[in-house]
Amino acid sequence: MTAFAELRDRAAVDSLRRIIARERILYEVRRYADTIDWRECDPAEPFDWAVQRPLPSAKRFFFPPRETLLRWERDTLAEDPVVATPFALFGLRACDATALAYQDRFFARDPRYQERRRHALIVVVDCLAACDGGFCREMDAGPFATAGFDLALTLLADGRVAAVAATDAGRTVLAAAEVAVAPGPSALAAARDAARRAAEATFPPRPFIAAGIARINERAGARPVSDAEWHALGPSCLACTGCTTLCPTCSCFAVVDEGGTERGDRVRYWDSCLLEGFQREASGHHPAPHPGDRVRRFWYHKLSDDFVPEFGRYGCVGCGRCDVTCPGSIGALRVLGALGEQP
Amino acid sequence: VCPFCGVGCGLVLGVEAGRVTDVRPQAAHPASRGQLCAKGWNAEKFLRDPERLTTPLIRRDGRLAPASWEEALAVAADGLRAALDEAGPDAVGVISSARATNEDNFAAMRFARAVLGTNNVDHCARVCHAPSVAGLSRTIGSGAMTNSIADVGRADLLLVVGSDTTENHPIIGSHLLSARARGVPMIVIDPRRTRLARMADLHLQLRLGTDIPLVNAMLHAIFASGWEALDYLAARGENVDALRAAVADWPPDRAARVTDVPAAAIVEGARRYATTPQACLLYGLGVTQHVCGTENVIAYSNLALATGHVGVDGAGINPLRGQNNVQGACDMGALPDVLSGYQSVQDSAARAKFTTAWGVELHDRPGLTTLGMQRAAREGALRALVLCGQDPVVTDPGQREVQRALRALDCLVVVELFLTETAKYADVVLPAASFAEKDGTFTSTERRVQRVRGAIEPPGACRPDWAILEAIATRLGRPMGFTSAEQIFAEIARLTPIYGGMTYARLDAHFGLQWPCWDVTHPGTAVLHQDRFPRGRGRLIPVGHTPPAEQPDLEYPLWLTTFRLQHVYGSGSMTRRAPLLERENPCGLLWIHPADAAACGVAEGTSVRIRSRRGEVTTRALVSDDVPPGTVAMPYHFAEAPPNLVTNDALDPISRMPELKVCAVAVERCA
Repeated sequence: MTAFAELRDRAAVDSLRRIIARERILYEVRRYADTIDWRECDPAEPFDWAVQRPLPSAKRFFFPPRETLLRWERDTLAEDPVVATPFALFGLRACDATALAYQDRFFARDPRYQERRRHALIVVVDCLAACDGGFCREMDAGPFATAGFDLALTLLADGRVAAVAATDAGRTVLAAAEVAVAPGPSALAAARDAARRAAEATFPPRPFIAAGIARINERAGARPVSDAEWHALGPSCLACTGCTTLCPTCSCFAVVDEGGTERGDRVRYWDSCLLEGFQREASGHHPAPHPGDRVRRFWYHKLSDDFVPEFGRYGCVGCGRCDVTCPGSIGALRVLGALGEQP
Repeated sequence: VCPFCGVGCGLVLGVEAGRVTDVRPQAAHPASRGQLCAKGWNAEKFLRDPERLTTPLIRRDGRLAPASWEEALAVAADGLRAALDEAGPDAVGVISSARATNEDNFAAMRFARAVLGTNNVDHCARVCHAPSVAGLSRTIGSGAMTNSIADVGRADLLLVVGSDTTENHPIIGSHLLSARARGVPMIVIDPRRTRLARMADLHLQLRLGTDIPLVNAMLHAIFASGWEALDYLAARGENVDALRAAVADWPPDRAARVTDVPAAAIVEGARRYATTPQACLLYGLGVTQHVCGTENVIAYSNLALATGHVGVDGAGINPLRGQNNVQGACDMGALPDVLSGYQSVQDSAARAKFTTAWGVELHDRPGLTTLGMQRAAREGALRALVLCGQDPVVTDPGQREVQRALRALDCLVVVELFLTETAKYADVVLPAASFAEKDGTFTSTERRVQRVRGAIEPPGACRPDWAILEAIATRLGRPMGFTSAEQIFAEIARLTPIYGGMTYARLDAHFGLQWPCWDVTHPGTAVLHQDRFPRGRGRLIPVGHTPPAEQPDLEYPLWLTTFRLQHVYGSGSMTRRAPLLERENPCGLLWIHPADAAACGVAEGTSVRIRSRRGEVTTRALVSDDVPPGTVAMPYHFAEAPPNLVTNDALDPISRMPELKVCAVAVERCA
């Protein structure tokens, strides 16, 4: 049951962070060394309300880029245990929280992911305006938290902060902070709704997004995307793996044995379906031989209605990272622009 | 900063429990803008490879065996001292690494010149852009990229020559692709149908080794139609009439017969390039790795100068450097004829400055190049060699000759990350620290000097190159006194005017600085030669056609050229340890046109033997119209199928660049 609470001001949020940090490692997004990324933070430093969403997503906290699964030495074979300690991601954005909820479903039966996930407290800070290149609103993934969070904070125009607890863990934190919690609809909920509407109004109109998605799904009245269109996009894919690495919902991995017969590790790495070798079969046959076929498959996985029954939503949360990192200028907005703006 | 090609992309290493777990891009970086190529995304994969060298090795009973630093340094120092005592300083040499930091290269340069007393110091630029340095020095006075990577985005036309940019410099390729997506016209000059060639408005698919006839015919059309930049040439050029007279011999229809490019296409390319004020020329090894490499560079320089495109925002003549720090290795004077900052060893004032700083007299005679040292080794004149981070057995032409040179040495000291094919010939192998394990600076292809910072401790006993050289110098009784990378950089800035205004603090405050940066208030230089050229006026130099040293004939009927794949770097000693990159490699390594494949009785995946006058190599065929009929192509990365068994080591007489891009071969099915 969702519960609402009022924090007097930003200082009250900082004291909430100190309370959280008593029992958990506190990770926040900070600007450092010419970059913006998640890092362990000292709660004594004030929260950075202005920092943009980082290029790396938060998926590495649950699904590390390199992870040892098993170790062997001579005739012993042992699972490499997950050693998780309680931590908090404080200041996750709505898009990434939505992606986390998506990955929770994908990894529902992955004990390593779930072990880390159990130790995490997710505190979303709602976005009050569209970020550069973000289109979470069109993808139903923001700018305010809708899924994948324990606690969401909204900075209101009058300086108060509305807190929404979605889980017991969220309510426990509010209780520890001795903040009065009110269930259900209230004046505070109405204020948060108003802030959400104001934030949504900052998104520029982009009708090509819906038009492009309609074409990918071959909806009535939408012209299907031809092979030729996908193949025209293909040469722009350099198979760099940037989109799949940064995408908060991409979850493909490759399992590799490293070492020899004496000892070694079975490791999983983040993989990428844009690599030619991802799907090449031992015979040399390739089910997606043209780079354009691989680009098509990637966007099919992100934007097809076929995956909605399993995941409850599309695989794209509109974070805009692929548009930044794609050296071929074929991130989500560019592809949807190319598909959706044609008559 | 990424450790692979010369683009100099910014990256951040994720570290957990002393181990690098992943690579993250830098959104604000001026060159890479939050992007990386597949190599960059996998830059950490080799760091903890089980085959990484973590202890020194010395040769005992013919085999390399682990040793302590004390033992290994003693072997290295004794070997060098023996060669020095018996045959003098010309019998020793140092080959430095375009992969190592500026600090490492400066230390190698000082080690050769001040500790060993020889100008025998070089690095691998010999086999990539020595012709650029030689050619552009003659025409404008400086061999570096004249403009910045960001200028690609400001250009109104892009001319890409002999560069498979999206594969070899993918993030510069990204700037090209985004310009292309905005509708900026692109002309590609390349014998292969590269990705960019397929996207270009105009692809001039010239026959291998015919750049000069093509460019002369373009100039012919430019002068004939009055498209040259008359005011610019009057103010900034010289020797214009000589060029005008020389290219009169190359009407486009004559060039069409030599180059296979239709005359109309030659004229159209010339018109569009010449009449677009901001036209940016980028080129790669397809220009330089020829027996006429220096003259090829001069030809393209003539084209850029005649049309007024050098010293202009969004334009310029831009050699794309292949290695993360090949620009820096040149800047640091890891070259036989210049000290750091291109100060000639023959310039007594420059020598005096270094003599004052180092307390030793320096030789005024230029030393031997890499291939010169190899030849001297085969002839017995060179006895001992220190080789840092280079794998000439895989990457240099004429593999058997390289091996013979290495075997002939009395003492070979190799500083390496892995036991490369070259390191297997060493008497002592010293384990080096990688880019992630040391502080220093790299200088990217756009002259941007950027900091690298150690993210983790080196494994085992590994040390940075400069510290290894310092330890050998100390043992030879001539310590250099280097104790930190920052201290070396301060010495670089003191002795190298183009780096004069740089400090670690200033580099940290920005994403590096672009040289020249003369003093501590100078902001660095994005576009060179805006007001004048280093040599004064830009010189136009007529060049004639030099056909490749070897032509196809009945016995060897096909051209072979070499190229690079996007997912491998160099000899693969780093990238081939990344499982997902290794998975990308095709099973066949000989690209052959369908018509030639049919003529040779070869299909996709057929095992083939490629023979030349120098040797043979076996691989599988990959049938593709990326190559024109009559030309086959092989990537040079793979020790299991090295094209350098068959390539030609004929040299460019000016820069001593071997002609790696052309030789004549026969292709046959393996029985």
